[in-house]
Amino acid sequence: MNFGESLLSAVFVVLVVFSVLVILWGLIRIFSVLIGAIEDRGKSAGDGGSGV
Amino acid sequence: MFLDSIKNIIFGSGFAALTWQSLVMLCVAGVLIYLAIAKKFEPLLLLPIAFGMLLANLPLADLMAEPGTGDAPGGLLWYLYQGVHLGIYPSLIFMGVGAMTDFGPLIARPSSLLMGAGAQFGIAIAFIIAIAIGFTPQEAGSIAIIGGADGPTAIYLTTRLAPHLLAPIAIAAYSYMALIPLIQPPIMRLLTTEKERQIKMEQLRPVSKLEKVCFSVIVTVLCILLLPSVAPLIGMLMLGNLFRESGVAARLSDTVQNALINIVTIFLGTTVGATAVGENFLAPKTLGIIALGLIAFMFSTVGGLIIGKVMCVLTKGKINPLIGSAGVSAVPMAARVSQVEGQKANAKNYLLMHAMGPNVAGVIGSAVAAGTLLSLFGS
Repeated sequence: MNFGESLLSAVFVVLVVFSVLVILWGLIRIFSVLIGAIEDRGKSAGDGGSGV
Repeated sequence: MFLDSIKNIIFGSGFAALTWQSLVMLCVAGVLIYLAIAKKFEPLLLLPIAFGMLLANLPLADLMAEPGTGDAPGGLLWYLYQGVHLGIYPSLIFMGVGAMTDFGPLIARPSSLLMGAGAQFGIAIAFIIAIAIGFTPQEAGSIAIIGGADGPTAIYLTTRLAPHLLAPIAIAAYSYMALIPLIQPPIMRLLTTEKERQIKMEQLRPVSKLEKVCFSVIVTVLCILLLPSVAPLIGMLMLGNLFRESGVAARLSDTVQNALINIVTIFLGTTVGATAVGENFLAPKTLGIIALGLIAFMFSTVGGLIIGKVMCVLTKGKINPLIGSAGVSAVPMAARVSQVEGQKANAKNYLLMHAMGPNVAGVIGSAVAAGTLLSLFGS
C-alpha cells in the first residue's frame, strides 16, 4: 500500500466514524423530541384524570 | 549411575532450556507486576497480563501448547486463549462495560458524539505512519486502533487482522490507558487557553428511562445495519446497557458488571500476556508498535480537543473544550482527567458528567472505527 492509498483509507475511516455518529446524533434528537412529546401528553392526561 | 541421573534431571529441567529471550521476558513480567501492584497501573488487567507473560516464558511448561496428535492434550492457557482467538472475551467485556455505563449524559447532549468522533483522529494518523514505515495494512490497522483507547476493541480487531501482534498491541493499549493522567494534561493545556478551561457548563437535562431504553435499541440497529462487522462489540455493549436501563433485569445487570466481567478479565489478561513469548515479542516491530501507540493516543486527544474548541466557538462559549479530550474512550479515566484539569483552572468547575458524554461516545466511535478497518482489511 502506498502513501496515497493509506491516506485515502485513513480519511475513509474518519469519515465513516463521523457519518455514523452524526446520524446517531440526529436519531437521538428525533427520538428525544418524540419521547418528550409522548411523556408530556401522558402526564397531561394523567393530570386531567386526577382533577375529575 | 547416580551422577548420570542428576545430570539428566538438570538438563531435562527448565533451567537448561532458558534462553536470553525468556530471561528478558521474565524481567519484563516482573516490571509489569511491580507497576501493577506498587504503582497501581491498571492492576486489574496488568496483573493477569504480566503473570500470563511469566507463565508463557517458563520453558517446557508448554501452557500455550496446541493439542497435538495422540496423548498431548494441549496447555491450559491454549484452551483459555480460544476465547480471545474467537473474539468472545472482548465482546463479553463490552457487555460488562455496557452494564456499567450511563449513557444519560450523551443522550442529554448528543452533540458530544462529535467529540467522540474527533477523538478517533489518532487512529488515522497512526495508520498512515505505520504504513509509511513498512507495516502491512492489517498490522497498521491493528496498531492504529490503540488510538481508540479501548482495550477490548484493540484486542478484538487485532485477533481478526494481525493476531501475531496481539501481545504488544494489548500491552501498549492498556499501558497508555493507565498513563492517561500523564499523557493528556500537557496536550490539554497546550491546546486550550486559561479562559476556555475556566468555562462552567450548564447542568444537563434529566434523561428519562424510556429514552435510555430506546437509545440501546437505536444504536444497535443503526450501527449493525451500517457496519455488520461491528455487531459482536456494539451488540454486547448495548445488551449490557439494556440490562441496566430496563430496570427488570437487575440480577443479569449485576452479574454482567461484576462476576462475568471479572472472570472474563482474568482469562483475557492471562492469555493475552501468554502470547508475549520472547522469541516473537523481542523484535524491532514491538518498539515501533509502542511508539505508534503513543502517537495514536496523543493525536486522538488532539482531535477531541480541536472538536471541543470548535464546539466552544459555535456555542458561544457554552462548552468547555477540555471535555473533548475525554472522547478517547478509556471510561471513566479520560473524563476524570477533564474534571481535574477543569478544576485546576476554576475550582467551582464540575466537568465530570459533561465529559462522560464524549467519553462514552468514544467507546461507540472506536468500535465503529474498528468495524470500518475490519471491513477494509479483514479477510
